[in-house]
Amino acid sequence: MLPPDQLASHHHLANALLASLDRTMLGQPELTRLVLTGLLAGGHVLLEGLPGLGKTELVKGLAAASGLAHKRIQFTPDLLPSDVTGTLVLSESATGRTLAFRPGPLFAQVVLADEINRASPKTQSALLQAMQERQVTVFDTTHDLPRPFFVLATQNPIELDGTYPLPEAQLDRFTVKATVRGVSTAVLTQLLRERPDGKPPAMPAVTDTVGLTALLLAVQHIALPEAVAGFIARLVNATRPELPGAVDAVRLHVRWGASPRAAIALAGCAKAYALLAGRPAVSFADVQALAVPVIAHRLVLTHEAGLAGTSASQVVDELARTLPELG
Amino acid sequence: MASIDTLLARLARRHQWQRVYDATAPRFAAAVVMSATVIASIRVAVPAGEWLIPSLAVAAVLSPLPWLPLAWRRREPPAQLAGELDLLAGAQGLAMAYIEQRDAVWSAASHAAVAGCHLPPFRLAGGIPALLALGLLVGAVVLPQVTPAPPPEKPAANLVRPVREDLAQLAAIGVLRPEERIELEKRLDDLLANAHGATLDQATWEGVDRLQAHLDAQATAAGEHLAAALATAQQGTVAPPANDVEATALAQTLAVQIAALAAQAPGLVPTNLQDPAAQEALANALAKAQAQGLLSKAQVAALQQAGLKLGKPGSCSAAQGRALARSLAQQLAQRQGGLGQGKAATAAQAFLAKLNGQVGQGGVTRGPGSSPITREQRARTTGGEDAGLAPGATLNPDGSVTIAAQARDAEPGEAARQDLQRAAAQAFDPAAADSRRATVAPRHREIVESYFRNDTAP
Repeated sequence: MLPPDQLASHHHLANALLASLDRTMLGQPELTRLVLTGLLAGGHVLLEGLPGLGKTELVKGLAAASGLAHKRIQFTPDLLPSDVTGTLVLSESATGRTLAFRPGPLFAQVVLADEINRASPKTQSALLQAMQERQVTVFDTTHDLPRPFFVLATQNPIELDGTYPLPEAQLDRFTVKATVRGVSTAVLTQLLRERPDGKPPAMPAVTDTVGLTALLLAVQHIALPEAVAGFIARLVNATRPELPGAVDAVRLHVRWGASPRAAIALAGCAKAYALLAGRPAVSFADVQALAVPVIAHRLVLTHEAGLAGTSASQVVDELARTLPELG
Repeated sequence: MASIDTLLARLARRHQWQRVYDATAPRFAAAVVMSATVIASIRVAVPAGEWLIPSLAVAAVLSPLPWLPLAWRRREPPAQLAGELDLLAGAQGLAMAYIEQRDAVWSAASHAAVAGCHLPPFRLAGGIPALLALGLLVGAVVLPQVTPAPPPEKPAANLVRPVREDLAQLAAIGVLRPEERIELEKRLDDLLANAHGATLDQATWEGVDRLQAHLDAQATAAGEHLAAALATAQQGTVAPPANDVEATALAQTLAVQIAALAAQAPGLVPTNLQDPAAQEALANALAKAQAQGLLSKAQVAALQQAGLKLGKPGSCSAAQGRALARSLAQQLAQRQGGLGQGKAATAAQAFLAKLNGQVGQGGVTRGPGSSPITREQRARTTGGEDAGLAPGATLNPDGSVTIAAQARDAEPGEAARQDLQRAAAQAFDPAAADSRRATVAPRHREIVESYFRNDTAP
C-alpha cells in the first residue's frame, strides 16, 4: 500500500491533471475522469461520439496537460500501415546510400487516432503490436515506442458508409471505451461566451514525462484486495455464455465474452480510479463503476441481442448491478 | 471501539451460527412435520402404534443434529470476511487491504474506517415454519389416542342378554345354587361363542330358549316350594297344633317341605330361626324325616350345605310346634317378599292362591310347574333407536314414510327368507317343542280362559 503522504501527492497530481482536462472539456467531468483513468492505468482509450463534441480537443488537452509529445493520425480509407508505423527510406549520406527507418506518427507518447474506423482493417491492424507491446516491427527490425505510450482513438458511430468496424482483437486492446455525449444548455452557453472561436484556452503542462511515469508507477501500488480481485474475475467470467451458471441475458445475447485481458484492464483501471479518489485500495464500487466502459466493448453479441435491441452496455451493467460482491 | 480483528472474529462467529441455523431449521421443520403427520395418523387410526409416538417425536426433534457439526466446521475464506466487513463499514477497500497487508501506516485509518460498524442481524427466516411445525408436533402428540374398536356384537348377544339378566336375578334371590349358576352361565357363553356372526342360527335360538325355559322352571319350582312351606307354616299359625301328635305331624310336614325347598333353592331356606325351641323342633323333625326315609340324599346334602343341622329324631311338643310354625311363617314370608316381581314370586303367589281356594277366580294357569300364559311376547331384542330418514326415503304428508317405490311386487330379502325358514323349521320340528311351548300362545285362548275362570265346564 502506498504511504499516505505519497498517496496524497500522487492524488494531488492526478487531480491537477483532471482539473486541467475539465477546463479543456467543459461539462464532461465523468468523461474526463474516465479518460484519465484509462491513461493512468497505462491503457488506451477509444472515444466514441458524434462529430463536434470535442474529442480531438480532449486528446490535445490531455497531451498538453501531461507534457507528453503527441501526434495525430487522421485515419482515411487509403491510409497504409507504413503511413502509421513508418518505413525504410533510401537516404544518401557520406557513406553512401542506405535504407534508413523513418518513424511514422505512431512514434509519440500520445497518439490521437482520429476516426480510426475509416481506415482499412489492414491499417487498423498495424496498431495491434504497438498498442499491446509498445513496439513496432518494420521489416525485420523492431523499434520501441517512446514511454509512456498512449493511443486515444475516436470513432463516429453514425456514419457507416466507407467505414470498417474495428475488429475484436483491436477493440480488446482498448482499455476503456468512452462515449462522448453532448453538453447541457448551461455548459453550452458558457462555452459560447468563453470560447467564441471554439478553441480551448492554452493549458500549461501540469507534469512531465517523469512525473507521469511516477504517477503510473504509483497506480501499480494501489492495493487490490483479494475479495475485489475475485469480484473482478467473477464479473468477467459472468460475461462468458459457455460457462455453467451463466445468466439468461448472457446465454441469449452474448456470443463471446470478455477475455482475461479485460479482467487485467478492469483491475488496472480500478486502481487508477481509486488513486484519483485518493484511496490506497480498490473497492467494489470502483469495479462496478468501471465495468461498462472497460468490458462492454469487448463483448460480441448474438443476432438475438440485435433483434431484441440489447446492447453490450446493458448486459454488463446488469451483471455489475446484480452480481454479489462476495461469492 | 472494537478492533478490526475483533469485528472479524464476531463476523465469523455470526456466520457460523447463521450457517448452523440455516442448515438445521428447514430440516427440523421438515422432519417435525413428517413426524407430526405420522403421529397424528397413529393417534387417530393405529392404536397398536402408540408406543412409537415418543420415539418419533424425539427422533424428529433431534434429526438436524447430524448436520450441526458439518455446518459448524465450515469457515468463510478470510478474504471474504474482510470484504464483507469492508462493505458493512463502507471502508471502500481500505479495511480489506489492511487486513491482507497489515500495513502499520494505515492501521489507524483502517480502524477508524470500521468504527461504528454494525454486524448484520441474525436472519430467522426459517424460524416461523419451524415453530409452526413444532406446534403441529405438540398438537399431534396431545391428540387423544383412539381406542381399538370393540368387535361387533353378535345378533345372538341380544338374545342372550335377557337370559343372563334372569340368571343373575335368580342367583341373587337364592333360587339358583352357585354351581348351577356357573354351569348355566357357561352354557350361555358357549352358545354365544358358537353362534354365527352375521345372523341368528336355529341352534343358538333354540339353545337360548331351552335355557330360558330351564330358568323359568327353576324359578317356578322354587316359588312353589317356598309357597308350599309358607302355606303350611301359616296354617300352623292360624290353627296351632293342640297336642303333641298334631305338632309332630306339622313339624314333619314342614321338615319335608323345607328339605324340598333346600334341594330346589338353598338360598331361600330359613337357617337361623330366632326361637331356639323352633330351631330344635325343626332339627328334630328333619332327623325324624330322614330316619323315616322321607328325605333323599340330595335333600340332606342340600340341607347341610344350606347350614341346617339335623337333630335327634323324636316327637315335638305342642309348644314347639307352635313356635316352629310361627318362626317359619315369619321367615318364609320374608323370603317370599325377597323374591320381588320375578317368575318365582308369581309362581309363589299363584301357588298360595290355589291353596287358599282362589283358583279360577282370575288369571290363567296350567298347573304347577308350568309357566304362566301371557299375551305379551318376551322382548328378545333391545329397542330401536330414533334415526333420520334412510337415504332415498321420503316423508309423506300423512306422516308415513315411503322407503322405496318399485314397480313389481315386493320380494322377501335374504334375511327375511331365512327368518321364514327358521320359523317354519321351529314350528314343525319336534326338537323345538320346548321353545314352541314357551313362545307360542294357544289359538283357543278365550275358550281356555273362560274354562278356568268359571271352574265349571262350559
